[in-house]
Amino acid sequence: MLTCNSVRMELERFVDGELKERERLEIESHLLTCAGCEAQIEGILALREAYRDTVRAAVNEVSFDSLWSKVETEIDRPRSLTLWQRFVERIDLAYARFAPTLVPAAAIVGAVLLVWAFVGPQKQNGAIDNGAEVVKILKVDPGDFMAVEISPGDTKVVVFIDDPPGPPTVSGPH
Amino acid sequence: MELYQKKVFVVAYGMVHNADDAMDIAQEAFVKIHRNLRRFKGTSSFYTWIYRIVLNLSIDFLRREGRLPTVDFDDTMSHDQVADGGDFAFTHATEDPGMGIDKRRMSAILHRAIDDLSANHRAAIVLREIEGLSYSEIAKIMDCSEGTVMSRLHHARLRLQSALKGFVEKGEA
Repeated sequence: MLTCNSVRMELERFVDGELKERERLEIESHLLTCAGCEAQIEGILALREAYRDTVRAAVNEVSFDSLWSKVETEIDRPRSLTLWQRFVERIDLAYARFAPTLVPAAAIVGAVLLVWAFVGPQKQNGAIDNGAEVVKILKVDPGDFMAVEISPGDTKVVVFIDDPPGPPTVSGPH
Repeated sequence: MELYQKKVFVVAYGMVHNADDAMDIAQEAFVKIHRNLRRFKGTSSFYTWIYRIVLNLSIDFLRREGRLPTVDFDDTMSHDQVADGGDFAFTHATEDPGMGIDKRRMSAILHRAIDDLSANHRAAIVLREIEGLSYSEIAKIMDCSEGTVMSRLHHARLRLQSALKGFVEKGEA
């Protein structure tokens, strides 16, 4: 059984229709036997009605006939914006127009780049560090090493970490 | 847009309490809505967006005119504090004889009492009592929590109730 104190804590939510069905029914049953809480509710409802009356009276007295012609005139009137205001407006508009597609697209590109940063650019076995091209393969020992000439008179020994045909790793000038 | 004209006017009127000013705000609101329609993101309802525009324009207007009270209430009260203390019971004056006069006087008193409310409390009471929005809808429009909405409504109602009580007591005397 609810007490007056607990009911009054929920009075406004009750009047505003914010209570769950069970809570609402509990309060309604309390109100059947409690004139004090009932008076509180009536007070809130009377205030609501009084306020609505004042606004209704104002709305009934106004005419919206001229509103649209004024709005149209204002919309058609060229606006005097500063260069900066125009710039901000353009940026704002472009952002609003393209953000729904650009933001997810940027997120996808970012995610792809992130994944590539971790798994993509791993140095492959056998890449020659200074980027020099192999002029001539001097000797190949499958599963062990390969001697290459990278410029006339300059040779390198490439040691296989993986079995061929995996690319070779340069171990240094020789 | 004609669908929205009454709602826009009513919210503006609830905020500024002057039909001409409310009509000017409604006009400005529709121009703004037209110019910014392409910016409407669709993440909130169209009504929420419109209410926000009207409230912001109304608050700007009240600030420009210096018609906002400088002292605000505390919005950070808990639910218990909100529900604790507050007597809403009073006799409804419109049921008294001489109802027409009473209504006009009551309307004037209500307007004065609402003018003493801060913009946020005014907005909460307009959206709830006139537009009948739920706490969650008001919270979205005003960008605050539902608890804050409850607190604002509670304070606003107490202030208005107390103003009307005075009116009833004077009327009865």
